[in-house]
Amino acid sequence: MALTLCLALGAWESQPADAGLPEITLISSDAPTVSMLVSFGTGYGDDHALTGLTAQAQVALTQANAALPLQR
Amino acid sequence: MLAQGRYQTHFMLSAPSESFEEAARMLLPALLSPRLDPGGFSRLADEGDPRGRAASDAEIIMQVLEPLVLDEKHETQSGKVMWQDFSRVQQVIAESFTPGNATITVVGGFDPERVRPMLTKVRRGKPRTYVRSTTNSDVHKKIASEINVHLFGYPLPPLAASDTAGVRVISRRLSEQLMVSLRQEGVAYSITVEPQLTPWFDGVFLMIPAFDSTGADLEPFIVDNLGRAIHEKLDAPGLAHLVEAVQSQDTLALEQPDSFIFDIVQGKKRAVWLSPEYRAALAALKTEEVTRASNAYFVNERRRFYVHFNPGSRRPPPPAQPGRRRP
Repeated sequence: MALTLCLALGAWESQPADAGLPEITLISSDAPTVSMLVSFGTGYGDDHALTGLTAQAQVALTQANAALPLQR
Repeated sequence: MLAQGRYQTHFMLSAPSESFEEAARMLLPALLSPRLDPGGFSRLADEGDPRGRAASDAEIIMQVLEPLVLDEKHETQSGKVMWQDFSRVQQVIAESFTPGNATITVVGGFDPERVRPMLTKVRRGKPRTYVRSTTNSDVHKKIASEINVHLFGYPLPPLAASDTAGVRVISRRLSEQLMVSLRQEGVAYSITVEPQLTPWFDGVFLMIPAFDSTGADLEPFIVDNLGRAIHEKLDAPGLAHLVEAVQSQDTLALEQPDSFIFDIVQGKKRAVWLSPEYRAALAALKTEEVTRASNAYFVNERRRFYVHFNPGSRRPPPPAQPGRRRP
């Protein structure tokens, strides 16, 4: 049981943020798909949502990335 | 995909294994060293409020909770956001949306040796320092809402692997036991008990969507059931069942990378649970450790908030029927 579980869960590695590089966690398995999450430590509440600047940055980045030729 | 969080911003890419690298090579530079088009920004400004994305119930609940948990005194703006100068928005992106302020999690069928170099091409910025919740008060609130949900929160200190395993097992146990008792009483149809580990607050949340539409106070009933579930003795076969159920959740997470990523987006920092250290701690968990964690974290005195999202207070009064006088 334990061996089967280990194989199913695959390899796990993690490195903390360091000198301008992101914190990275890689968990590889034999799944047929891959998902990647890029999380930034900033959000629309950072200035108590008073200026809306971060909210607009969020949308501007989203729109810029929506223009990439990726399959949706 | 984007989740516009209050304190975090998430982008997600999902692809079949064979085309992931090509897609990531396209997306990563656009996120980690973006060059925005001023013309595109002007068009955005014409389109109106940037916070129009629909959120899930869980996201709404978490966003309501975050300022409560952090004991924020500031009012947030609920009206339309005024569009700012492009250069100011660019400045925010340059300062805050940096590789050094990012956490990247990749899950599924990929080759780490090929993907790792793609994530470390740009160095810039540093991680944000979050203010951790230090509130000691027991927040007790009723919030007018379209949904009828009772939410309980028990804070957790930073946990070692064995304590985390204990908390996960207790959470699973509470889910199973409370589901039976609350359904039998006709009080609720579902319950979610989960550790929510965020950069600003760690805790176990009990989320109970209720049948009751009168706005009655179900708190004493739920607390009573919770107390009995916590103190019921756990034997070895019971523990084995719970550990296996939690392990199955982990295996499922790896088989469905999309779902797992959505879990992380909602504040469940689950990636570390799949590490060899945490998996070993879960497999070796003993009943005494579960009891210890129960007594340490789930006693009523440690509860930090109870919030009732209550549709009763939003209901308009029933219309008066013609020809009948109200008593």
